[in-house]
Amino acid sequence: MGARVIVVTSGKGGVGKTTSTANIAVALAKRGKKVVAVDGDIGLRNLDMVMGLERRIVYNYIDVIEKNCRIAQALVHDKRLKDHLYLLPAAQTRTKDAVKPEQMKELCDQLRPDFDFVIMDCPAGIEGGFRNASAGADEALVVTTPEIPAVRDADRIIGMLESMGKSPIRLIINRFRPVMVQNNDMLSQDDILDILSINLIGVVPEDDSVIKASNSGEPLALDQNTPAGEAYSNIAARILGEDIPLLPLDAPSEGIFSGLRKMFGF
Amino acid sequence: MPYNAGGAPEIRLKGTAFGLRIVMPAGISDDLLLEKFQAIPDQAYVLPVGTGVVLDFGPAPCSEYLIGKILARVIWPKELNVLAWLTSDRESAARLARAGFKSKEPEVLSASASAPAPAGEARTRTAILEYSLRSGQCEEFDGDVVLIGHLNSGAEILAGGSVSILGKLTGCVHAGRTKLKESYIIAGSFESEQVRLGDKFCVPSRDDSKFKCWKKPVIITLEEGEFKFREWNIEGRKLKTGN
Repeated sequence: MGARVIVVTSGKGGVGKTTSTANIAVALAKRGKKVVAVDGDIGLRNLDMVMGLERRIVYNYIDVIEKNCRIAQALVHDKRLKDHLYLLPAAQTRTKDAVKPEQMKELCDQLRPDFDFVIMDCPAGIEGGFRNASAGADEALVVTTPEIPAVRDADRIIGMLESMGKSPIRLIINRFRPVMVQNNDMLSQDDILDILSINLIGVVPEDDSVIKASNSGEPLALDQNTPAGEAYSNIAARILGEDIPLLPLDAPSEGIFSGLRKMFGF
Repeated sequence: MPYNAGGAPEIRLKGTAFGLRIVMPAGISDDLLLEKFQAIPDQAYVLPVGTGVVLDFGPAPCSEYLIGKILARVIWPKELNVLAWLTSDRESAARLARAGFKSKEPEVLSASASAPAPAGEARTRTAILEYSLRSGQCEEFDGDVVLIGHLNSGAEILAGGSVSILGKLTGCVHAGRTKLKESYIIAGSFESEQVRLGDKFCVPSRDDSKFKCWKKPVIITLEEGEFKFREWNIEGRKLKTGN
């Protein structure tokens, strides 16, 4: 049986598609699956940097499509997860018109026999880049942040994915801040699910270590000692069908000092 | 309404001023598309005299194979009157034009959208949509529309008559495009930034303390040129029966 091809998409930019792709790919690989993360963002590739593999790229999948190299030559092996994790980079010097959806579908079909999972990082937007990245996918993970514009764009993308026949389509809520939700300054998990009406696969809390990890090329899921890293690891487990409860995301209770300050008004 | 034979992707059927728009899904093989097209029951093509169907392929390519098979298996056997073959794929559009197919939007659509219905015209059928409309999705009908679902932000319903939404109305409704006098909008929960009735539009504000209907079930009508919002609630009331 071939790989499950999953596109990670959102519609809106900056919600964490690439971070989610890298971390889910790492978390699946850590669970013993053979995974390839494909950068669907031709011309604005970032997945290589988030995964810390940018210096090892020689060929990309445009070279594969144009028959300048074999697919095995374009795959970048992540040695931290030996024989389990690979990156298939996009071209940085080309545009999204360089490929057609049928070619991306063919590319995914070429990868299927050799992997358990193909995780496709989709560019923002609903035009050619989105259509290319999602053409070969069976399933979709839609990433949103708890902001109204991001949720509306996610809704648009979900409608398009449904009309393309992708199933299941599941939701990741990223950069969740329980304190803001408690203060009614942010959409709650229930608000978002009420609007989007799809199944939730995970909630990733806002975590400063995500920025450090992106800059250093060390995906958080490599080391689960952060809230976001643990959330991504749980998402990977749920993709594999495990029944893992959501992380407790209640706002932290106030400390003694804070309580005293309130009591005495300072 | 979406026509969904054997799971997704789906062919969508839309009632319009010129008859029926058949919207083909993207990312589906020619053979599967044909299979789904052939599975549409004959009742869907029962249309008023003088109307027809528009085949809308959107951005999807329309190959010679597909054109030939659609003609042989659907259009000719069902004796359909095809008003246009629409596609935004350049190659396909050129292919259709070379073969002499009409590839422009039927003009009757824009004419009837703004013109009032002639007096004594038979009532157009009500469209019942049993799903929610997501952002970017638009449904357009000549008659009344009942949506058994939500109209999400960024989605639209354009109707010649009245629009009733059983769920939340957060998107945009334009009702009464052809039958203004008797048209209204009903919503299970009103959360929209704009509603339109005929040639008038209204921008209700959730921050306006005078506007009491935000997030409440409402009936919206146009009376002497002014929008009227009435909250309705059937909880605790006995519905009157006919006898």
